[in-house]
Amino acid sequence: MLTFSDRQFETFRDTARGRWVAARAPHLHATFAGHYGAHGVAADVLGPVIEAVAAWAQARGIRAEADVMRLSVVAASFGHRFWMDPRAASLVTGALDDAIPRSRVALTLVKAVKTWLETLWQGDDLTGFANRLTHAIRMGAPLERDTLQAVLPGHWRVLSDEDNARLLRWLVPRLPATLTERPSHALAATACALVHGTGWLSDPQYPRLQAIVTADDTPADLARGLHALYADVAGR
Amino acid sequence: MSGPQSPAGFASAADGATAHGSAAIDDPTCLCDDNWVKIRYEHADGSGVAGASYIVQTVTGDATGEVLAQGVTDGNGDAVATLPSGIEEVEFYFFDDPEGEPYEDPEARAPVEEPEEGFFARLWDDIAEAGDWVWGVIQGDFNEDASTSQIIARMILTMIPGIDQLADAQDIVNILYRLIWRREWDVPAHWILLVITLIGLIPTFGSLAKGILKMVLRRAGDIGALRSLYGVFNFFGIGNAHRWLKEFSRRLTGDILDWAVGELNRLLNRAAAYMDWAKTRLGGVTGWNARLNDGIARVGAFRGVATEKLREAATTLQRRLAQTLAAAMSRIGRGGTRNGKAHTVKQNVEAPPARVPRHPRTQDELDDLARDPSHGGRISRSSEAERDVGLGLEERGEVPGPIRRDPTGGAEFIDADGVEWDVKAYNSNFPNGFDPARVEEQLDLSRRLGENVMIDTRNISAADMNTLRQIVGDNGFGEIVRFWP
Repeated sequence: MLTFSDRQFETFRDTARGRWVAARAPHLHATFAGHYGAHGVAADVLGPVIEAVAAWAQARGIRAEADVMRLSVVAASFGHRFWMDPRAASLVTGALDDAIPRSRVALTLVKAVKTWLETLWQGDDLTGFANRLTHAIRMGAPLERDTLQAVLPGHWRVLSDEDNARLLRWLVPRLPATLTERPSHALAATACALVHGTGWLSDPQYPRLQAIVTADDTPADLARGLHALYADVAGR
Repeated sequence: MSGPQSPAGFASAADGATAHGSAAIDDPTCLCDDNWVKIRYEHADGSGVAGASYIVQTVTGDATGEVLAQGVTDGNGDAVATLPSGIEEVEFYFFDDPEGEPYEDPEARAPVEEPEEGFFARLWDDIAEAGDWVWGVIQGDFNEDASTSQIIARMILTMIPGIDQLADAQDIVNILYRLIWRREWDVPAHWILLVITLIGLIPTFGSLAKGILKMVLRRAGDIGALRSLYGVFNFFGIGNAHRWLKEFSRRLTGDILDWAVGELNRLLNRAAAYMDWAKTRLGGVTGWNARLNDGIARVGAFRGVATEKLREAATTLQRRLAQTLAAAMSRIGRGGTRNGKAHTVKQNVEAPPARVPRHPRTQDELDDLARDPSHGGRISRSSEAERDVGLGLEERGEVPGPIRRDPTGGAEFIDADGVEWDVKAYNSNFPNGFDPARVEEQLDLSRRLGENVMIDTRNISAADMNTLRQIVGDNGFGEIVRFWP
C-alpha cells in the first residue's frame, strides 16, 4: 500500500490550494471586471488577496471552495484582510460564534456585510460619495467628523456617532506622515478608508486610487484625479 | 453601481460563489465516498431550472444545519451532491435562481383608449363612494350637461394612466378620496395601497409587481407565503423567481419608489391643471370655483405629506417582502440518501389577488376575526365561514370597515361605526335547515336587540332564497340585513 507522510500530504495540500487560488483569481476579477478595470488591477494581482483569505479561513476550519470564494468577495468589498478592519470586528466575531456551524460562517458573514452595505449606501452610491468628497476637497473642508459625515452619511447609519468617533481616533493617527501634512489628502485617505476598508492604502486592489491620493498634488489636482477615477468606475 | 461596494453587486457575487461547490480548497484527493443525494428543481411546467443554487444540510428543520454540500443544478435542473458517509437523511433547499428572461409587462401603462360606448356609465356605477366624492366636488349648484360628465370622466381617466382593469380605477380613486378629501393621512393602509397601485403602473413589470405586493400584503408571515410569491411570479409566465424578488425588494425603496412618487406628482399636476382649467371654463356657475379652490388646496396639502408617507409605506412593504423571502425554509425538502429517484422541488403557479383589499390584514388579524369568543376563542369551520361573510361584505363596502370580532361574543362583528352584526347561516340541504318561521323570528329578535344581520346564503337553495328575500321585504328587515355572497 502506498503511504504518505504528514509532510508529504501537507505539500499536496499546499499545491492543491495554490492551484485553486490561481484558478479563482481570474474568476473574482471577471466577477467585478468593471471595478477592477477602472482601478487598474490585473487578475494575477488578486492571487495574494485570495491566498490570504484562504489562509485565514483555513485557520478557522473553513475550507469549502464556495465559502472561501464568498470570503474573497467580502475581501473585494470590505478590503483585503478585512478581519483586521476594526469595523468588521463585530461582524467577524458574530459569524465565528460557536453556535454557528463552520460550514455557515461564510454565509453568516456575507449576510452581515450585505446588511452593512445596504445601510451604508441607502439612497446613495459611489458617484454621490465621489462628488461630495471632491467638493469638500475643493472647498478646503477640514478632516473632521462633520466633513466625513457629510461625505459619507451612511457610515453614521451603520455605526453610532460614538463608534465613528472612536474609529477616527484610531484611523487618522495611522495615516502616513506624508498625507497628514496635507489636509486634503488626509481627508481623501480617511474618507476612502470608510468606503474601501481601513487598510486600503496597502490593499493591492486599489493601486490607481493609492497613486492619486498619495501623489504630491494640489487639492484641485487631487479632486480632479478622484473625480476621473470614480467617473471611470461608474462608467464601466 | 455593480461593483463590490454596491449591495446588489456584492450579493450577486456572493450568491454566485455557491457554484464553486463544497469540495475543500486544499483537498488533493478525490472524494470517493459512495454516499450521495440526487435533487432536482423544476419550473411549474416540469422543466428543470438550470443553474439554481442549492444547499444540502443536516436535518434541523430550518436553515441552520451543518452544510453538507452546496452547488448549482446542471443544465437539466438536476444535481448529485456527494455526502460524507454515515448520513442517511438530509434536508435541501434552493435559494438562488439564475436570472430569467427579461420581462416586459404588456398591461401596465397601456395607452388610455378612447372611451367605448357605455364605458363612463359603467365606471360611475362601479366607483360608488369615490364617485360621490367626485360628484360632490363638481356638483354644487352646477347643472350637469353631457359635456361636463365627459370632462370629469376624462379627468378621472387621465389621472389613471394604464388603467387595465376597473378594479384598479376603483382602488386608486377610492384611496385618493380618502387621502385627499378625508385627509386620512394617519391610516398606513391607505398609503400602502396607494404605493402598490402606483407601482402597478410601472411599464416594464407593473402588473407582476402589483400582484407580488398584494400577495405580500395579504400573506406576510404565512408559512406558505413564499411559495405563493413564487406562484404569482410564475403566473406571469416566467420562472426563476427568487433573484427577481430579491432585486425587486432591494429596489422597492429606491428607484421604484422614486418612480411611484414621480408618477403621483404627474397625476396630481394633471388633476390640478384640470381644476384650474375648469375654473376658467365654468367660473360663472354658482359655488363651482369655491369647490375647486378647496379641491386645489386639499391636493396641495396632500402633496406636502405624500412623499414621506409613501416612503414609509414602501419601507413597510419592503420589510414584509424581506420577511417572506427569508422564509426560504418553507420550501425545504427532506429525503433519504442514495435514492435513485431525485428528490424534486417544483415551483407552483398562483394567480395574484384580484384586487387590493379595502382593509388589509395580517394572518394574525385574520385569525382573530375567526376566533369565536362565545366558544372559548376557538377557530372552527363555522367561525371561519363567519369571517368569510364579514370580510366579503366589508370588501364590497356594504359594511363599514374595518370590522372586528365582538369580544363579548354577543354579536359576531362590530363595524367601524360601532354597529353590531350577527351572522346567520341557513342550509337548505338539511331538514329544517331553512325554516321561514324561525328565520323571521330570528331577524325580528335581532332588530329588537339593535343588531344588524349578515346572512350567509352559500347553502340556501334558489327557492329558499326567494322566500328569504320575501321575508326581508315584507317585514322591513332590509335596513338591517345584508346578504353574502
